[in-house]
Amino acid sequence: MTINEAANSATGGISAAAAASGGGGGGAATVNTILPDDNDLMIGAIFTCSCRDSFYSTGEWGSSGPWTTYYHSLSDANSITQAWNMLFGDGKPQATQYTNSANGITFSGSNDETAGPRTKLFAHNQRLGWVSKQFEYDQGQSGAYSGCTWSCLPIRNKGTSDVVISVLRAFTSYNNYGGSGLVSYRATYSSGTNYANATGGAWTTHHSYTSNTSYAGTTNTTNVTVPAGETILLMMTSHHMYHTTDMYHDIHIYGQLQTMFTHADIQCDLRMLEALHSCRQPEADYTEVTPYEMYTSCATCYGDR
Amino acid sequence: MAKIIVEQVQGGSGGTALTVPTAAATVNNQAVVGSTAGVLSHSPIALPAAASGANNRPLVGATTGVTSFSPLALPAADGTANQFLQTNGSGALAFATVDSGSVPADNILSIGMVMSSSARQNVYSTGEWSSSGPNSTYYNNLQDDPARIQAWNMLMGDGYPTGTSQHFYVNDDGDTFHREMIFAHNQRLGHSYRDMYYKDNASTGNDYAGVTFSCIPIRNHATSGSTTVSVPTYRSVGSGNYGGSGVMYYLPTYSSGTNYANATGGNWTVLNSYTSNNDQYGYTAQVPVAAGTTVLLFMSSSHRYHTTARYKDTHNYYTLQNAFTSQIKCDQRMLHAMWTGRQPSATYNVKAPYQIYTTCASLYGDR
Repeated sequence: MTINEAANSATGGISAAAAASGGGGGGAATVNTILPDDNDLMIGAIFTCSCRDSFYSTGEWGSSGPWTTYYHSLSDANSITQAWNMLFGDGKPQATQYTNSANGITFSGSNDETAGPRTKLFAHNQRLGWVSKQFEYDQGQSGAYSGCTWSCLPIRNKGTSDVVISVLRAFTSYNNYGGSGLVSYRATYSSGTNYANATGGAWTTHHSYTSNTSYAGTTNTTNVTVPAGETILLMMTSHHMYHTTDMYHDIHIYGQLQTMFTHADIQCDLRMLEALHSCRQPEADYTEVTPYEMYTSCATCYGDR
Repeated sequence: MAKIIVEQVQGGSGGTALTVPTAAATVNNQAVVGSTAGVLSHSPIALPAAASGANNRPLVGATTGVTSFSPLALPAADGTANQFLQTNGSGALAFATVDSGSVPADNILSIGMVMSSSARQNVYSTGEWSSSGPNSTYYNNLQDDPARIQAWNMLMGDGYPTGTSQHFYVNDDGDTFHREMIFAHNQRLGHSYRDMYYKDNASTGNDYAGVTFSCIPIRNHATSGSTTVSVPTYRSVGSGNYGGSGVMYYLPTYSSGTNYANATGGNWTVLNSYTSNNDQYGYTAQVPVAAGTTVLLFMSSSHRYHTTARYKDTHNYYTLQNAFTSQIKCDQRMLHAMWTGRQPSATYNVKAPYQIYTTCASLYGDR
């Protein structure tokens, strides 16, 4: 090993500039200069809402989502596909109609008084989300279609062994159409587990709640496996629960974060969080399962790993 | 003079015979090197003619075979994992950590704040709150320490940050702010809402109609002295101490120096506490900011009843072009820490803003 090679080795292979100037060899290192490194001091998720049938006249929607029957409890695969698209603010991401029609509306992120599409929120300490958030719908619907919230929390296991985490959540629910679910997405790769190599993936349903919680809500604890060296996407839904005339309450929380993220290898994936907040998925369509593309978008925009 | 021609030399006691070069070196300073066959030759690599003049300068080659000492001196010891070499611009290299949580350098062209709000008693039934906040009696005029603890937690998005069943007390209405980061277009920062709609219409007496909190981190980049920063504000004020509003600033204390990472405590100083109804109460805050430190300027406002279900909220800072000038800038690292960072020690009854300083150091770099 030459002295120059030794120097490159010691720097973790930061050799592109050295090679360009006639220096030693070695692989180029990718430096993430946009986001903080993953750290337990920063845990965030994206949130999107829709007032669903509490929308006056055109623009409202009930049992039929952007594609087909939509169960907010995430009790079937088609509902999860639609939920993913609505989480991103557009239930029909390849729509060619742009007017206020059934084929033109975005289904989420377009409603008065709800969180805008893909709002990024962070935990102050041990909780993330909201308890009993009030929505005021002058066109209120008291049943299953009054309004809904989606969120997604990206969790990365930086270690070499799978880790099982305990996910405590709180939520409001009415029935299957207006229920609440917790699912996770694990990508599949052409090789390895780098974001850029994601080519597909599958959702796992951890909890699908279809009963009436009243506006007081309820809680559930579920174990979720985070594979070694991978990032999973945890998606949760909650129902805007009728309370009294025109008043609705929503409970939507990831709790006990200090426990959920206690394992040294488990962290909120800050690159993926930023991708969830900002990136496009060019293949996304109302019938397609394309969350894997968020991984490749993440690699392109925020650095592969 | 006679010449002694030697083709080989042999060490004593029958050592291996070594064949010496038959020609002179092609350039100066080529060393004589051996081979397993015992044939000595001139190396094609020529050594430098003089010492390096400084420690840790490596030899570097050229296509001519002549080496020289690099003008760059390597670090004397290894760094830690994932560090990179950093130059001081004068030929000295050192291992350094990349400032991965990169935010723009502080600049008067970017002035921001974090903002949260609560509908308070204008939440219908469960979830509403009035005189009792997350910890104890809550005065939005910030008149006592418990009120200030609660106000800080609510600004950070969770009045009960270790809660398992308690409400958050903020972000409790679809229209409220939830720890958002907001920036100035030019000279003003904030809002002057004239049509907040609360169907519940619960606090027409203006004691508990709703509250908004904001915080601007102000950093003095000077190397010495202290500057008193003048920041004019407008805010809406409700009734009495409960519905009043206030302006205060936070000064951390440090174990040593003034680096974020060394913050271990701190205190709020209330500049103004106002308790009389006013849609747009004006007050100019005078905030002392010592060189090399960051101070947190905090403001609360109250949502004021106007007519049935209609409320107003005024909450803004203005003439920022005068406040943020020269060495006085909005601290971008702290601003992002206040937006994104966790405070693991935060709970409903503990004063812990200092921990946003240590969190800032961990996420966005110490200074």
